[in-house]
Order: sequence, then structure tokens, then C-alpha cells
Amino acid sequence: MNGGKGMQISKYHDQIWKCGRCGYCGGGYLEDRCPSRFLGRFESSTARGKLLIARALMNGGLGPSAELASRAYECTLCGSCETICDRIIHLDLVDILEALRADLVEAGLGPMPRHKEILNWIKKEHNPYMEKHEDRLKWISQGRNISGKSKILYFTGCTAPYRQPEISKASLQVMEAAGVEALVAPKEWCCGSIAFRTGARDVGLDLAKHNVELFKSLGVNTIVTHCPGCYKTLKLDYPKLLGEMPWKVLHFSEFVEDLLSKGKLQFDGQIDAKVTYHDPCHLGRHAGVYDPPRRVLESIPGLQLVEMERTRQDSWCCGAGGGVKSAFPDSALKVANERIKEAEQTGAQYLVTTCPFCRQNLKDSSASSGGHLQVCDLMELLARVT
Amino acid sequence: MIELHGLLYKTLENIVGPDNVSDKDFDLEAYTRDLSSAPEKRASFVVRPSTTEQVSTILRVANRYRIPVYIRGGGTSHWGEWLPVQGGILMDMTSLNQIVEIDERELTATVQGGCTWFKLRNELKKLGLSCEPREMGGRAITVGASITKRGSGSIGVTKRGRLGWDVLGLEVVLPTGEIVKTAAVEYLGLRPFDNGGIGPNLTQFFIGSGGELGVITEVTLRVTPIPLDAYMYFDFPGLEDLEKVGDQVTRPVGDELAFHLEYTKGGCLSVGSGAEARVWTYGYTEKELELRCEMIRDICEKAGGKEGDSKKTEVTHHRDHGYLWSGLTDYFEPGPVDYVGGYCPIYSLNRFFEVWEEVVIKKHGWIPAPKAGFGGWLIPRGWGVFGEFRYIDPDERPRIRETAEELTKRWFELGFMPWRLGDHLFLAKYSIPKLGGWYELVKRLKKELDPNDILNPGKMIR
Repeated sequence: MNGGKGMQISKYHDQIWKCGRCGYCGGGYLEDRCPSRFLGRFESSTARGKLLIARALMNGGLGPSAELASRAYECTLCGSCETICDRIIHLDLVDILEALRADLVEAGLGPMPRHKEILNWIKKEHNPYMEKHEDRLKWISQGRNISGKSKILYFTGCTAPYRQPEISKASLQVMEAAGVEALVAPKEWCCGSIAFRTGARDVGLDLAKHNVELFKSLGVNTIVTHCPGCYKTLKLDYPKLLGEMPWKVLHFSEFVEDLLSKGKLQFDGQIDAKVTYHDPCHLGRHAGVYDPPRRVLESIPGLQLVEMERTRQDSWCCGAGGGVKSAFPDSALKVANERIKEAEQTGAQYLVTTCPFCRQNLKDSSASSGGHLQVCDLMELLARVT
Repeated sequence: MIELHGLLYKTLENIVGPDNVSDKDFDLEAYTRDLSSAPEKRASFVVRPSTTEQVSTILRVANRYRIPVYIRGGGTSHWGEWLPVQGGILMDMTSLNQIVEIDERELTATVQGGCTWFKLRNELKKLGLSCEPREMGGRAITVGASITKRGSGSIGVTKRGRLGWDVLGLEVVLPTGEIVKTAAVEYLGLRPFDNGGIGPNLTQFFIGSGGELGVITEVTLRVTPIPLDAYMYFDFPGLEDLEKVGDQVTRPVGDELAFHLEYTKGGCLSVGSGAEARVWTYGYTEKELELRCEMIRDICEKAGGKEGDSKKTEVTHHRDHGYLWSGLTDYFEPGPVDYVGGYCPIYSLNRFFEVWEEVVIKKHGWIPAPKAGFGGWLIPRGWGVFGEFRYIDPDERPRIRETAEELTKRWFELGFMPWRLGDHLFLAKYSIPKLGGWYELVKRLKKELDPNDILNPGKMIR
């Protein structure tokens, strides 16, 4: 790979060589935290192993190959390795793994075939679900005003509007219950998360530029989203690529927590149930949002929150992220099955998450195993009591 | 040769299944280094057995084809111990990671060799029990690998001493593939409950063997109830003062230690000109704990020590945080760590430091701190001692070798006993010529057990 010159991973050269190879990232410190290791079994599936591979790619000791690409992409980029590494010496492992993917794209070996189909569709219709752009807002019932002068933009993302409209509807309902005038932008495009995560940075950059121009034209000061993938991309990736943004980005759990604390949102019912909460990786480990969803859940009358064994920064990933669900659906399901088993052990009736993508994968797993758990999004529960 | 490679691959695939063998270059590359600065070595195959029988079959196949087999646990060796210096098969033991049995009445735990200390500790903790690692690699290291190197550090050394006393029995696959149990009582249908027993102690024979006499597939360990902990910290003017502390602490207790005392000077965790001592002790009642604290305080103060902030110890040795590698980001900032390390007699510590300072700091210029450090810990009537280097990888790797060779040579002149005999950093070069009859006996035993020299060849026994 060109002796490392011009490679994306070469930007992380010093970090890559600084790795002390302690192996805590792959399960030595906290066993069963790395889905990639769980799936791949060999050392090459761990961050430690991938850093050794990255070194060899940079110094010419190893050439890229289709099989290597496949190994690099069978990782959910959940960031478990990075949070463990943070306890010792901080390495930007997720960024390094994404840079490795970008180099594989450059070498013509990435992303995976299914990712290519999705990215081609995104370029055409601005969503990854092979749907028409004009159908993006089909979930909004006719006559509902979503194009007002509000400075608060509800960024819907793609997964909910096209595949899980109940989450989008619930989100809008909660906003209305709190008296928040919602603005939804018909010209919203995919945030670009799938492109950035799979190494197709040029595609992601085009999407980012479009969305930033859109936000500017709308004059928004707050962007609220229920999708942690969008949240991370809007809040963390866009400023890295395009500079500081004049608006704040909130996840719905943060937004609702604020509404509750100000007394703007009140409950008119209760949910008598035991629930457990699954931390989405992009919201938790990547953005540090652990408490707001829990506080919102605990504020619902009648609801009892119980934690799974692996929680917060040590959470087990749902298995869907990083392009794994689209390129390796069986692997995504295997990882989710582990989470479902863990959730069932708590005795909860509901497995609640705050990510439509986690929700889908966990639902798929629960359905395939005939489990009793009801998997839902936080916004769906809130809509029942507001 | 290519035909043999294909034949071997197919054979290994038949033994462990297609998902557990690889000869792909990137899979092999990920196994080319351990914690140390030892040069990269790449195997021809990596294989992940999940049963003792699979380990046995792999070794029988390796004997048939005279193919070297290197055994790897958690990959945290800092001696290049498992690096496949002659290529061949790398056996990744981490699929043999089950906890077989925890006997709360007999206070034993039986685990497979690839089980990590983390996993074992976690399960024991649920039952109010403990068995601590004795390793720099801490909880990431597998129990089997820990035994092959006879770990001797960390808080685990307190109470039970160096790893070995609390190893009650092993299941070992000999290099030729036979599966044996080392505790005679196991042949009588019992789990080992004592480390002695009938005749010679065959368990001890494999402890510290560097994985060259057999592959450890199952281990029975003594466990104890989780004690109460106390952390203390002392500053000393110099290491001569600590020598007195070591003498006083170990004089009345024989081979059992009530304290884990780790010291540093001249870099590493230490920043001042004096020596620092981090002390961990235990007790099963508050009174017992208090008594031990009073005892060590008295000994340290009489030797010139001044008590300081116990948090300095807690951050490096906390039972729940693991050993050392937690909350010490700055410590690792200068880069990965490599060591020259071993043991020295109780009144040699300061002399070892002087030589370290002369060679590492004054002559080879490993400054500023924490670029290099000197430290170690108390063992019964002696000290663990190490000189550590934080290096920029790969630029400074040759420089480590240059410094380490001189340090090793000089320390041997003072009566140095290395932790291991691995080929990394010249330990074998300087130690083997001095080991005479002991080494000849080990070689004979190795030849008897491993006639084709297929297990970890080119390491300790040559």
C-alpha cells in the first residue's frame, strides 16, 4: 500500500506504534466486550491485531486483499476497544479502524459489495433503503404542519421514516405534547453515517455539505434526532470535516430530559412494567450519553428500570453498526442474540433502546428466537404516556 | 513444500474445523509480536483448539511432520516466549477458556488453560472468593500461560507468594500427544486438594517450564475468601533503607508474605530522587488488617521511610482495577514498555540500582523519566528487580537491545536470576553458560518428553 505514504492510517502512525499490545481491547481486561473478536475468533479481529496489520500495511510487510477487507469490515465499530484502551493509554481506535477502511476503499477492496449498492443508492436518492427521496415524509399524516418557522429541526434520519415510522410519529407526538413546534425538512438527506463508517468518505462529505447548507438555509439553532448514528455524525463528524457549527445537536433523550426538567412535558398515564435499557454504541461510547435516557425512563410513572450485566461503557453492542447488518446479516444476528439473552436474564418485559437500528436488529433476534421480550424505542414508550 | 503446507492445512482443518485454522497472511501478522520489543516472527498456521483432545492430535501431527508448535495464551508475554522463531504452527489457546468447577467447600477452582485471570476472578468474586494473578500482564494473561512462566508479581504474590504454591494439579498434553494429570490423586478419582501428595511433585515440574515440556490444558488452583485490603505508601531516602525493610518483613515469615511491597526509583512511577514503596496488605478482620498496617508502618519508619498518600498505591494495585495498567495514561505516554528483569538477593538491591543507573541512564542516556525506570517487588528473602524502557516503536528497538545486553551482562556479574530464559534480550546467551548441571538435566528431560523438539523450539531449552 504505497509504503504508507498518503494512506489514511498513516495519519495515526504514532498512535499505531504506541500500542503496548496488552490485549485488553480484545477481551483480556473485560471478557466478552468485543463483537468482532466474538465473530472472528482470531487475533486479527481485535483492535490489537488490526494495529499490527496496519503497521505491516504501512511498512510493506503485508499487502491488502479481499479477505483482509472482509475481516476489517466484520466489525461494528462499537468502540468497546477504545473505551477499554481509555483506561490504560488512549488510542483513537475507532478512527484508526475507519481510516483502515478508507484505505481499503482507496485500494479498490472496500467497502463490501452490499455497501456499494447502498452507497450508490444514497448518491441517487439520498437514503440507504432503496426508497425514493420523495417518500421520506410519507409517515407524516396529511394536514400536519411540519414546515413552520421553528428554529428547532427534527432531523428524522432514514431508518425510522422509511422502516420504522412509528418512532418518527412518536417523536413528533412527544414534541407536540410538550408544545414544541417541530420543523421537519423535506430536503433532508442521509446524514452520511453509513458512508463514513464504511470508508466512503467522499460520499459522506457530499451528504454533509448538503445537509449543512440546508440547516443554514433554515436558520435552525437546535437539531434534534432520535437516531444515534445521525447524532454522532451531525455532532462529531460534521464539525471535524466542515468546522464549527452554529447549532446544537441533541439526541431526543437529552431533549426530552430537558423538557421534563422544565415541566414542559407531563405524563398522563403510567407503564407498569420492568424494562431494561440497551445503550446504543453511537450514543453511549461514542458520544458519552448514558444518563439522559435512563433518567427519562425512570421518570415514567410505574416503570421500573433494571440494568443488564454489561451496561453503559461496557455495554455489549447490538451487532448492527459499522455496516455489519447490511454486509454480514448473520453475524449481526449472532451478536444481537447475545444481547437478547442478557436482557432476558433481567426478567424485564421490555428491552428499550434509543436507536432505530439497534431496535431493528434486536427485534430480529428476539423474533428469531421466539423470545418474550418486547423491543421498543424510548420514544414509543413516551408516546404512550404523553 | 507447498504440498506439505496444503496437506497440513487440511489435517489441521479436520482436527479443529475450518473456522479455527488459518494460514492467511493478515491472520498470521496479527500474531507476530508480544508485549516486548522482540522482532516480529510469523508462523505458517494459527490454530485454535477447543478441547484437550484436539491439542493432543495437533501435537501428534506436528511430531509426524516434525513441525514446530508454539503455544500462545493471552499474547501478553514480555519475553518473546511464544513468538514462532522457527515458524510452524501457532496454537492460540484462548478457546480453551472454560471454568470447569469452583468447589466452595474445598476452596479449589479448576479452569481450562486458556481461561484468563479476569474471567476466573470475576466468577470467584461472585462467590466471595479470590485468586489473584501474579503478572504484569494482569488479568489479560491466561492461567495456563501464567503457570508456564511462574508469575511472581502483583498483589497476588502476597499471602500465597510466587505462583506455584497454589497450583494443586494440572492436566498436561505432553509434546508427543499423551494427556497426563500431574496430581496423583486425580488417578484416584479425586480433584487435587493439596499441592503435595504421592511421590515427587510433578505439578511443580511444569511450573515455569516455558511451555516447553507440555501444553497446560487444565489447572486446579487453591482459592481463598476475599480478604479486606489496605493500601499504604512510603518514601525512602534510598534503596539501602528498603533492603532493611525487606529483611525485616521476610525474616519471620519464611516463604509466606503478608505484604506486597513494590518499589521504584529513578524514573518509572517515581519522580523524586529517593525510593518509593507501595505496600498492599490484607486481613480477614479489621483488627488483623490494622495489626498488619501497624507492623509495616513500624518497620518502614524505623528504616527511614515516611508515610505518604495511599492513593498512589491504590491506583496501581487496586484489587478491582487490576494491576498497574489502569488510570496510568501518563505512564504509558512515552510508548510501549520492555524489560530486563529477574530476582536478586535481599541485600543486593541498591547495587543493582547503581549498575542500572550507570548503564541505562549515564552511559546510554535513557532520559528523561519515565523513559526508563528501575523497580521491582519483595519476594521471600529477595527482590524482583527490573529495568524498564519506554521506547518509540520501531526506531528505538535496536537501542533497547544494545542497552539491555550490557545491563544483563553486568547484572549477571552481581548474582542476577532472570525471570525467564527466553531468547529475548540476551537472557539465554548470558544465563545458559552458567547453569551447568541444572541445564543438562533439563535438556535430558526435554529430550525424553519431546524427542523431535517440536514444542516451543529455540526458546529456553536448546
